[in-house]
Parts: sequence; structure tokens; C-alpha cells
Amino acid sequence: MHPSRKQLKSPEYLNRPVVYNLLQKDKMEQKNPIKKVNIICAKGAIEDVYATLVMGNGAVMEGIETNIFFTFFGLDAIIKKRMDKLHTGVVGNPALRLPGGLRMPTLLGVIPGMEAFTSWMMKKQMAQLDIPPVSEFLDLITAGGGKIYACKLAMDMFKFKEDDLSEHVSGILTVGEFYEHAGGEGSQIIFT
Amino acid sequence: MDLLWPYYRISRIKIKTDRILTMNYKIMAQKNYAGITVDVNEEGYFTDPSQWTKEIAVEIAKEEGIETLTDQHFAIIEFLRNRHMNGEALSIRSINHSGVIDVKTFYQLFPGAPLKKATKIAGIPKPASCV
Repeated sequence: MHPSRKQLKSPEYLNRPVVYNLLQKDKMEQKNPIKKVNIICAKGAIEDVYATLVMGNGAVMEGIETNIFFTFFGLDAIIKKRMDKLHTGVVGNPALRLPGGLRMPTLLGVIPGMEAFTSWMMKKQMAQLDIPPVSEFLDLITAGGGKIYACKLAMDMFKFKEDDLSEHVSGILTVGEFYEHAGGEGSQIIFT
Repeated sequence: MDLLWPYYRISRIKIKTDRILTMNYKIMAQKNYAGITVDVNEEGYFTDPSQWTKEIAVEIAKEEGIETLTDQHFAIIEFLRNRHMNGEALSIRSINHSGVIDVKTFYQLFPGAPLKKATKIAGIPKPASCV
């Protein structure tokens, strides 16, 4: 039976189960939510490191358990002396454009200072969007319960010591240990 | 008229179904908190922040699994509301620079998804920022 006008405005009608079903529909559709993400970062250019950090921080903000594993050149992002001085590659990057929108010729990339200038420019643009520097980003992630790990093999290869690492790093793992940490239902491994 | 009737029938049915569909989609969800009916979107976020009161906040918090709202909770809720009213974007970093609390406490106060929960309790839209 169709409700009368008076009934339409009553709180009983407004809070009827139909409305709640609409609200709960989305939750029910999400049957297999991601519960844990394990992100591997193997490159040390600004864009590679920030892709990892933004995804990791996003996961922490959503209440997803987060592990970030830095290996090879990605280690630069957790080395105290290097983390805030990352650069981006200007040679062999076909998507790189000059401020006007023109493609940047690869040959221009070899000009001394071009890499530093481009990196400075990128950092400036990111600061405008309220994207924090790497050290602060790690701070945000660990404050929310995210875990940062370094790769043992890469540490040995680059002759880094534990003291070189940022205090946000929870440990140095082998590949086997990383897979152990990555286990569990609804867990995903992402390689950036 | 005889020639026209199928079209007439079809168009009438079409109008009817269209109306039903649009009606279904445009149902403005409403919820009753502390005796006040408020407009919310399909995720339960307020569409009109001016309808918010402290009593409502306490009830939403219970729904979100936070039993009691302390002064610290209200301080950060006030900060979020002020920031929203000024038209500034919300991010987890802005909490750190707010001077009210640091991010670690923020995660403890609103366990799980802090920014989503806090904005819901503060009666403002869900933040659209990635950081």
C-alpha cells in the first residue's frame, strides 16, 4: 500500500529499512576487501619512491595493514642522508616535458644541472599539492602503524650499515622473511 | 488514433519507468540521530554540515565503534569542521600541522580509517585527497 502524505514525512517512514539497505548495499558488494598490502620499491627516482609512499600511506589511511619493502636503488628512500635529496631521471624518459608542454629532447638531459633542476621543479609541484617530503611521509606511515623494511641483500651489496637507515625502518629482511610477513587472507603484493 | 496507440502506450510506459528509476536514484537518504533527521549521502556522510550538533556526533561515533568522545576528539572535530568551512582540502598531513594533535594520536583516537571516520563524525563530506 502506498503511504499517505503524512506517513511520508514521519520519521518511521524516513528511517525505513529500504534506506538502510541502500546504504549497506556497497558494503555487501565488497566481499573480498584488501586487508593487507605489501609494496616493494626497487627504484630510487622521485616518481618511483613517491608512487610507493602514496600507495602505502593511502592504505594506512584506509585502515589496511601495510608493509613497505625497499630494495636495490629504492633503498635511497630510507637512507637518512639521501632520502630528501632524491632525483628524477631526465635521460631516456620520453614522457618528460618542458614547462610549455613540449617534449624534452633526450640530448637536453645531459646538460649539467638539468637533472637537479627537473627534480627541484617536481618537488616544488608536489609541495603545492601538500605532498610531504620523504622523511615526513615515512613518519606519517609509521605513525599509522605501517611498517618499513629494508632488503638485506641490497644492504650488503651497497655496503650500507644499519646506522645509515632512517629510524622508521622496522627491520632488515631477507626475501623469505618478506614473504612470511606478506602472508594472510586478503593480502596483496605490489611491485612499483 | 488507432495507428498511434502503440506509440502512445510505449511512451507512457517509458515515462513511468523513467520516473520510477529517477525516483530510486534520487532518494536522499536520511537518518535520525538524537531525535533530529539529517540528510546523508549513500555512504552516510552529511550533505549539509550545518545540521550537525555535538549530540549527533556522539551517536555517529557509537555507530563507528567509538564509545565515548573525549575533549581531544572534539578538538580535532572542530579543527576539521573549521578547515572544511574555510574551503581548505583535508589531508592526513594537515592534521600533523594542525597543532591540535599529532598523527599518531589521531590514529589512536579514530582507529582504522581515521580521516574517513573523523569526517563522518564531524558531519562534513568525505575527503577527496590521496595524501
